[in-house]
Amino acid sequence: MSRRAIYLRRALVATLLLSTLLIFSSCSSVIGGAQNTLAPAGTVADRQRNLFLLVVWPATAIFILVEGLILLIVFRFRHRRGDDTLPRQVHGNPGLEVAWTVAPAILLAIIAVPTLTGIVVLGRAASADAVKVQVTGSQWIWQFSYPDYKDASGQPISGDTITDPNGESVPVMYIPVNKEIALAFDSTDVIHSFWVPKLAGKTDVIPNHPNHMWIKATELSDNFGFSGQCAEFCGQGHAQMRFRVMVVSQEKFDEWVKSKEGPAATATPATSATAAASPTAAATPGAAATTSAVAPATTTSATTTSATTTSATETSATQAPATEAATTPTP
Amino acid sequence: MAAIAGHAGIGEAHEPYSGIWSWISTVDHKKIGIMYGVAAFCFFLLGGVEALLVRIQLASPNESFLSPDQYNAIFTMHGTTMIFLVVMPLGVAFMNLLLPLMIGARDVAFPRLNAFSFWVFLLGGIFLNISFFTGGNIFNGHLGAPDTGWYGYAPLTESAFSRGDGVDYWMLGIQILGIASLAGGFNFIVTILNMRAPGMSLFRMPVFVWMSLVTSFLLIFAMPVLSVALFQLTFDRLFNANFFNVSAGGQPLLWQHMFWIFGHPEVYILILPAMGIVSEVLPTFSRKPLFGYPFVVFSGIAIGFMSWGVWAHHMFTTGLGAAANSAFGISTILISVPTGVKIFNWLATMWGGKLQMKTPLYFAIGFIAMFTIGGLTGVTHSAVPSDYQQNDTYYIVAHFHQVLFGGALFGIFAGIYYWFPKFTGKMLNDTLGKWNFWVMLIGFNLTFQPMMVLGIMGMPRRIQTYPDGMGWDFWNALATIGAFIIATSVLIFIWNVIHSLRNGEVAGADPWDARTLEWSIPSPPPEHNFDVIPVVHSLDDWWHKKYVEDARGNPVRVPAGAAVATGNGHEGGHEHHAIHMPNPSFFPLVAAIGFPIVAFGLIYSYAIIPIGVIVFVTGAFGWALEPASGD
Repeated sequence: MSRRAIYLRRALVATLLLSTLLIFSSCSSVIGGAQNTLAPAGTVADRQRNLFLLVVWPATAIFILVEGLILLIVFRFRHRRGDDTLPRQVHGNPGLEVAWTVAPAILLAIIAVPTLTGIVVLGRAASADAVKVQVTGSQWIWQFSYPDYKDASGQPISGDTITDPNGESVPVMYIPVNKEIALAFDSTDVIHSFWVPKLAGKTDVIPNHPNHMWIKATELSDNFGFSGQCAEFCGQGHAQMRFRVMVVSQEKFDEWVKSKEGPAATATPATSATAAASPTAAATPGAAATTSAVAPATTTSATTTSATTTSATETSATQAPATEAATTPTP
Repeated sequence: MAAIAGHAGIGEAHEPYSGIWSWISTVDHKKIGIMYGVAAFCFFLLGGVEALLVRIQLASPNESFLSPDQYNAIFTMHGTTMIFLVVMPLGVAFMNLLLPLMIGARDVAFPRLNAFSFWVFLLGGIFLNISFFTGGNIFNGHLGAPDTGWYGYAPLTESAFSRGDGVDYWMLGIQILGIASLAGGFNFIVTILNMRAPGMSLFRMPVFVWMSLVTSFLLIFAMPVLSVALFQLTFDRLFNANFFNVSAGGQPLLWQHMFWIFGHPEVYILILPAMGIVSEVLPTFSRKPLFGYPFVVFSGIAIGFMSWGVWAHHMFTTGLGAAANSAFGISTILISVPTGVKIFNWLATMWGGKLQMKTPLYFAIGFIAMFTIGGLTGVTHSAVPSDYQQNDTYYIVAHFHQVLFGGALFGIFAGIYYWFPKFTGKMLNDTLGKWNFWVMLIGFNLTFQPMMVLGIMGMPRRIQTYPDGMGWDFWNALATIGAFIIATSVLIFIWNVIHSLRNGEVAGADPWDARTLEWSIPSPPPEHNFDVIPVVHSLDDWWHKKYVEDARGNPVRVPAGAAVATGNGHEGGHEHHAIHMPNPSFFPLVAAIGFPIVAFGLIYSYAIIPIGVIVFVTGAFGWALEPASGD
């Protein structure tokens, strides 16, 4: 091989290595983005970010070790022209091999500890004074209702609709900052997944399988709220199944609740409910039928979970009227 | 294919058919292996075009190149094709080509069952892709293909939510492919356990044979679980059963459990053959034996067992509870240990070697480099709470492409460059091969490393489009450019194959000075493989026929004549008049044709089903009654 070809090859290797490094370094340095998991604004997401980084650093070290060894081996042990001898035939070294079995095992055992505590802490039931929100996923819309707060007609109050930065109208969930929120999930049709990257990782929203999660926002959101979207493929409108979480101060939250509870506000959910129901039904004839059929089934299964979570007990009773969405779908 | 057929004619006096008929009727494991490879490669091009369409759609925000329905059909078919019609059958292609040669046998245990496997696979794959043309006019942009993801989560796949025929094609097509996998799995297990040459004890088997054995066991245990799940779905969709029907109390999670009990061993079904290939390529080109053969073999077996205990790591966010998530988190952590062992053993194999920098070694090293990233990103998923964020994002897409493309496909390319001369008699061009490698490596990294960033920045999988201002635009554009670079590398490969088949350097029996038995016979091998069944005395027997080790472990070449004197040379083939090879047969194909007919019947009209059954029974009886072999 000519000298030029060798240089060319080395230049290629170097470029590749550099670009890989660049990409790796940028993934920790870019902290913009409305759904960046490395820029958390809540307790749960913060814990998940920290655990991720805890694993990423040793992983990066092993990555550099292995890739470095590859480069070293390729340059040091390449066959030289005119060398007809064969290398020494080494068949193995049990000591070394046991070492590189045990060493990663120890490293992994260390990672297992925060993993397990994380699972337990994030999987616990929400505290008793948490604000309860019932989240219902349907093709392709989210509905939020607050079983603890009733409007003039005695129905739980529900979330609003806002226009997001892209000019699309999306459902929004209001929550107070620095307060635990007990989310209870149910689906009226297929599987969805509730995800607000800045607040917490996903919890799947599965029909006949009520799930729950607690979250706690530690930062106020801007006027658009934190961005969230469905993370489980749910059919034609999956990409459009976006929503917002507005994190406001306790006072503003109380104000908002009051405005929804007051007699003046009762007209709003009624009108938007009709707007919400008809396009959904038009988009999926099957879904409309299932929605009504599912309602009794969900009530029974939700009762089962009440044994494990206190938060689910009340929500199950109020969840059944699925039509009270105060949200507009984004087809 | 014709060129390959032309070379395969050494010593085949009793071949009754010629040209295309000799391929259709063949029961020769080498021809079947080549057909598996060519068919899978055609599906690879199809799946690749689907990937490019997906990448064009995602290249920029608010793109409308594909409608949501088209996008969903195409990403579903990309995944289904690449897994069931590309990586799996490419692994099987290598097993077909190599297993009998590596263990010193004249064919697989059941040659006609082998042909049957191939035809069922091919027809199943074609059946699956016919779905594109159903349910409307494809030229008006209506794709009838399944659009519920390769993993087909219920209840989205139920009739209430997926009304077209697409999901029916999907569930019946995969059911058919499962039959091919099962037949192949049993065939390979029996071949490996029963057909080994004298002296070829289990621990003298090449690592590729070991990995194939583990893969075959995984196949025969994993595929039935998928079959049962698919039957449940079939009963739900066609006969109104309620396994996953939520309104009747069905449990969607049942599908997920069953699918992933199949699905995770499946990952190792895809990767283990590639690990086997790399374990053959590295020693040959390092000119050293595999470092720690028992460790590599046992870690492969360990992976095989442990792969049954990690399925729920696909389901961490489904609310299984802290106990289940902890258990599966730990098992996922554990399975990375035997995988890590292999990586260090491979590095140690090259350490101290005299690396012959040829294309197969490039791809094998590429495998280690890229698969390591796949393994390490896998470890980040085992940190369960962290996975709640990454699950169903592009981070996962990046991760498993590191494993299945950077891993499995790079390994398979290493294998293609390594064994191409054995089966065609021509070397693949090394310069083009290196271009192929570098372009593919750069394209690969440009496509999938940005996806890792995208996942961390919160981009979910399977979205047809995304809004402006999420910070995803640049990385998506980069990934799309990368995808086209990969496509370029595949074109270079195709050109290399065409060019080399026509004008390639003629390969001798043993162009790489390799270690295993297949290199002891001519290239391409005669139909009966070995004139004289070899007697095996050690691991890497062919190498030890050529070299002996002195007291310090340094190899010394055996004088040229001596190798032949040990009885392994191909020149002394006087006996082959007495070799009984199985007769060619059309009946495996006939039997295979029955399956898609039955499947069409299930979708369109039950009246067609008996025709399919009659065709299958005809094939089966013809197969049973014709003489298996004769002079």
